[in-house]
Amino acid sequence: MEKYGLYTPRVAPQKEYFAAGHRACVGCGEMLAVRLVCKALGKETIVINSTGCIEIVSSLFPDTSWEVPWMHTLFENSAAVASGVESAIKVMQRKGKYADGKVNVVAMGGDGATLDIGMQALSGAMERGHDFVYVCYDNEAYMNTGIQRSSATPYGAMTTTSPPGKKSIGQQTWKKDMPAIAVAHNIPYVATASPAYPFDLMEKVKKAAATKGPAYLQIFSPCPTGWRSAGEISVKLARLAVETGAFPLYEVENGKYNLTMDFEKLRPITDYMKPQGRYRHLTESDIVLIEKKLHEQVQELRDKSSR
Amino acid sequence: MVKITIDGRQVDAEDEQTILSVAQREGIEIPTLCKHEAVKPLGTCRVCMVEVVQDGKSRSVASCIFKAKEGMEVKTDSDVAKEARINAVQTLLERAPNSQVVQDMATRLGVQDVSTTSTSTEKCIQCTLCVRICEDIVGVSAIAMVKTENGRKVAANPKNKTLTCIGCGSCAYACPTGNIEMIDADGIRTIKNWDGKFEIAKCKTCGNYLAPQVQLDHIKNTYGIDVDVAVCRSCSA
Ligand SMILES: Cc1ncc(C[n+]2csc(CCOP(=O)(O)OP(=O)(O)O)c2C)c(N)n1
Ligand code: SF4
Ligand code: SF4
Ligand code: FES
Ligand SMILES: [Mg+2]
Repeated sequence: MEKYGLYTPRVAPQKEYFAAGHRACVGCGEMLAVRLVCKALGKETIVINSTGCIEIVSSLFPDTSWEVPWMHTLFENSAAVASGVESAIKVMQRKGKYADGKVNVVAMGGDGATLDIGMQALSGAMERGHDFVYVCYDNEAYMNTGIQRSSATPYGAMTTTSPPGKKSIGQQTWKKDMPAIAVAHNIPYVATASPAYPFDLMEKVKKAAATKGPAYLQIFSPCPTGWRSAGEISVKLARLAVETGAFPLYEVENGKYNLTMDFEKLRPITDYMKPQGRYRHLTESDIVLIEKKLHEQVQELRDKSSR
Repeated sequence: MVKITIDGRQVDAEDEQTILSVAQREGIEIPTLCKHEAVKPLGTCRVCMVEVVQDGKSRSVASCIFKAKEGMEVKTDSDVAKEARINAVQTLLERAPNSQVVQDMATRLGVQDVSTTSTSTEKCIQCTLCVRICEDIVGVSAIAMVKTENGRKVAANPKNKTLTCIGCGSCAYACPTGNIEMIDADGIRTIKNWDGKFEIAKCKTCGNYLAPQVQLDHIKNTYGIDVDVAVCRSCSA
């Protein structure tokens, strides 16, 4: 349950920094997440954006959805460019050539850009200790180029490059634990978030921005096109992913884990999988195996949280 | 429509538009604490002070409530404005020495030494934003500013016979200093500041926590919504 629920939306900030009218698919959970992230970051923000759906749908010439300074990078190097932006601001402030005060330097990329091709740049930026936030929007595949698998694609899911068939279950590897990799860099703040829990998401973004040094956020981003699901249930799917244990919400502050959303009983994973075509081929025993693994992962997080 | 000068720029302002709102439109930064877009501004914290020159007379005013007038000259960065803000934030430091937000604001406004000898743990700047939100937005007027030995603090509204707080947290969310502590644990929501304890209802179908029962009752009573609000969104179709 989210702490701020029924009444608080009326006192949430109204101002948007990611404008409507972008070209994302109907029901895109990724753009909903971007919108909430930008709302929480506010005006004093510079966004450095890897190639991927977000960049494509938000910047069709001559239009832009961005109401903060925005820079498009290659697929792989948003963290490296963000390092440069952050260092440049520091130097220029020292020389009195840039207004004093805090600027949020925020790199953004998809799961492909983050967990696969951009991980080296991200690792370097985290290691160097830049004062920046990295936001990974996790829609669990390379969606912009037509639903190819990434290392964030969950075990068993169908993509165009992990097709299920006689000899394949679909994606054959378990989802890479990128937040744990970020934690292993000993950075001060790591968290997962979901647009189904908007206040929790915005709190985490604010915490990440206020953190001195690197902060890593991984945000669950339902993709109706890639997941073969109905556009109108994206938020529901995002909530079910949390309630079933498919995408647990937690934060890690200075190495200390805290499960931010927990349930006395996790929902059956079928509640989450059934509405998605990408899991349609799975057999009952496949599902039992997946559910067991997910429950173990949530339990591990619980154990770490209570330490 | 009126014409004013702000930091040397000639600009138009709507009738009744506040200086703060004109400045924000023009991209001029003015600090604020007690101003919230959801409720009418009251000008209680005074960190938004600016200098205004009218008919040759200069004075400092709170920009979140002061309205633009024809021919007025506004200086948001003058010595008069800066001093007024420093005075304001020093008052807030005395009121709420334990507030990190106030200390950060003081540093930002140029106060050299924000340390305090006070042992007070107070975080409240007595801005009344929480009271205004509870009254105007939530509509239950559960809290009020009450007198204490050393000033005022937020507490249960003495005009109500019983606590009318529904534990919605709108006040806690909006409070600029994080003074209102709301914690959910073991099925109970607690708001420490006025001893609010609220049982959190569970979804009838899956058993997961749903929302404080008083909030569900309040929705039923206030809006006459006769749906079965005791089922969570994942369980309802
Ligand atoms: C070096 C390089 N390889 C491949 C591409 C083509 N490409 C553009 S976006 C993209 C996939 C993006 O996937 P992800 O990062 O998960 O973002 P999403 O579109 O899913 O939001 C690919 C492969 C590229 N731009 N650069
Ligand atoms: S509790 Fe917060 S919002 Fe309420 S008067 Fe104090 S500082 Fe202002
Ligand atoms: S939590 Fe209670 S006091 Fe605060 S706004 Fe809601 S009803 Fe009012
Ligand atoms: S913001 Fe104007 S007085 Fe507080
Ligand atoms: Mg992706």
